[in-house]
Amino acid sequence: MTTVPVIDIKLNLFGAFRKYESKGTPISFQVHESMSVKMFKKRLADRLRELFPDFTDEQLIEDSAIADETRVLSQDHFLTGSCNLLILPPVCGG
Amino acid sequence: MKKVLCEIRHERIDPSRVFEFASDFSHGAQTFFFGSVRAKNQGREVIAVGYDAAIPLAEKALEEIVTEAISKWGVELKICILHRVGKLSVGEISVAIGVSSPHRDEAYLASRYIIEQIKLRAPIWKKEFYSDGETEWLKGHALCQH
Repeated sequence: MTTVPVIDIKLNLFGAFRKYESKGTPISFQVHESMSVKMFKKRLADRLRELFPDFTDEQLIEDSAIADETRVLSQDHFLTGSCNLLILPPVCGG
Repeated sequence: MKKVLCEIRHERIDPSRVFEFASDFSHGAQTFFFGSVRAKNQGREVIAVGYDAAIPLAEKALEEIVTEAISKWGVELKICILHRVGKLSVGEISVAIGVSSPHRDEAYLASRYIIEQIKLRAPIWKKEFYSDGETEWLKGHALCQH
């Protein structure tokens, strides 16, 4: 039996996701290597549901973008190694 | 001479900094836009607004917007954008945009373009604090994910 390698993700939260932070630290969890950003968002929803039984922000995750430290990642981007990511809910600066 | 300044900071915005940066004796037009925290939104009494930002990405977005403005309205433009993060009281300046240009049309157009694009593209978020003790993150524009 082959095992799928896993990678470590540290996810920085902003805006409406700040309520899921613990003392300002990112959420850490593991995902399968080569997971797409689209699938990562589903995994994130599962993870937040595990951590917060009253979690209801699936649509907010869907509407949010995932970025690394330099750019917004497309939904089809594959996560190939352990990394820091950011979740960016819909924006409203100014 | 530096022609572009884009900063997101916790410190209070000093308008004189924007005036000084966006001035040029070879230019005949300067526009200044200041966005501030207002006391009412959608019928609710607001006492403060908290600004959150992914600062490195947001500053990069501001620089991209400025680059676009310069490509549209001329390499002569001098542009300054300062944006706050943190909790701001009613009346405090949240964003300042200064544009200096040889002529007024370009300054007005670039300034308007910049504030509209900030609202659409810069990873910055607002949380309103109301007089009844409630708070709410404002809904915004989803970033492009393609």
